[in-house]
Amino acid sequence: MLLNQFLLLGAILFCTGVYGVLARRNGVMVLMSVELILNAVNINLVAFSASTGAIAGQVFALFVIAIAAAEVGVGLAIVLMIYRNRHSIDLSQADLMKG
Amino acid sequence: MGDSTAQSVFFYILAVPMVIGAIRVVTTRNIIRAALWLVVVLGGVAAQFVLLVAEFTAVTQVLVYIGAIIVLFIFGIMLTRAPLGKSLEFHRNQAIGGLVVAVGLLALLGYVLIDGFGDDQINLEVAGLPSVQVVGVVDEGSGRYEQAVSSSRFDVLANEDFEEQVAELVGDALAGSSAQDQLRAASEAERQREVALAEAEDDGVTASSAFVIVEASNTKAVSDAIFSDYIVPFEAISVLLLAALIGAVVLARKD
Repeated sequence: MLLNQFLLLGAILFCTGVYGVLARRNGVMVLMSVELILNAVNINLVAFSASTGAIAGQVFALFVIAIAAAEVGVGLAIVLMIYRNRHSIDLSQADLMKG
Repeated sequence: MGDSTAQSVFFYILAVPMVIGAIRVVTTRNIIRAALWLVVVLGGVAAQFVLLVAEFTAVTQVLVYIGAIIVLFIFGIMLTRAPLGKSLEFHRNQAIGGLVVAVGLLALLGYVLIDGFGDDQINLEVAGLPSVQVVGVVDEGSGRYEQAVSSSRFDVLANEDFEEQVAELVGDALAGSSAQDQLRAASEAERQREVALAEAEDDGVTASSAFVIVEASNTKAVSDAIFSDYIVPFEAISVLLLAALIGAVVLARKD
């Protein structure tokens, strides 16, 4: 198996996640795109771990999974608060701090 | 090389639905469908992990991502009463800008990866388990060692009777594995020792012995690493999860 197969797959998922973060206005959709990005990173980490034989890549991937869980929890709580205050989760309308 | 072809075939069988699913996640109007396409992607990632002989990480991915995070997303979608059918309108300028950035980034990453990693192969003899790994050599002259891979669990095997000692080490640690696997692990250790000694000679170091680590299963290897080398990040993550938990509860409270 080529190492590049996994790295390119990771790159494609990453760029799809980037498109999702930039183009979607629904708060929950943005969070899902961030999950795509994190999974792309995880594929990269584990592929390198398999390629060099170091176990550190897989350990790091586990930490990324844990951090993603924490981030989704807090992120959804924030989206929930935005919804409660504005009755909409359209992020392009949440621009009170815009100068 | 028949092994490698089969693995490549499985890789593509997994990768195509993953890419399709990822594109559907970010383009579909219906947000529940997006969450379900995300499950396809996450499951595909877990299967890729199994392909890379990282089965503990694969199971954790399924449990945590699909089992908890997706459920959390669906709760979030239900609670915010996001329109479950077709939702917010499509904004062309924003989408085009995002597309330009994403495609440009993909082109850049693709070029860098193909240029940088070319034809590097993943050698499953190294990644696969059970395995014995030569992680460094001991310098005859100064007594110090070069550690190729970070690990605090290792045995030092002198060069003279390396083969017997490795066979014994493999026999002890991989007691449950088949004789063929043990033989494969021992000969892989031999090969790695040759490589490590050759590299050491290139650097002008005369090595008298080699460090080896034996990993009987992926879970054992990961847990050994986490609870010895990476104990500090592990504890920090526990505190982070606690903080996130308290934070989410406080934020979502109705006051």
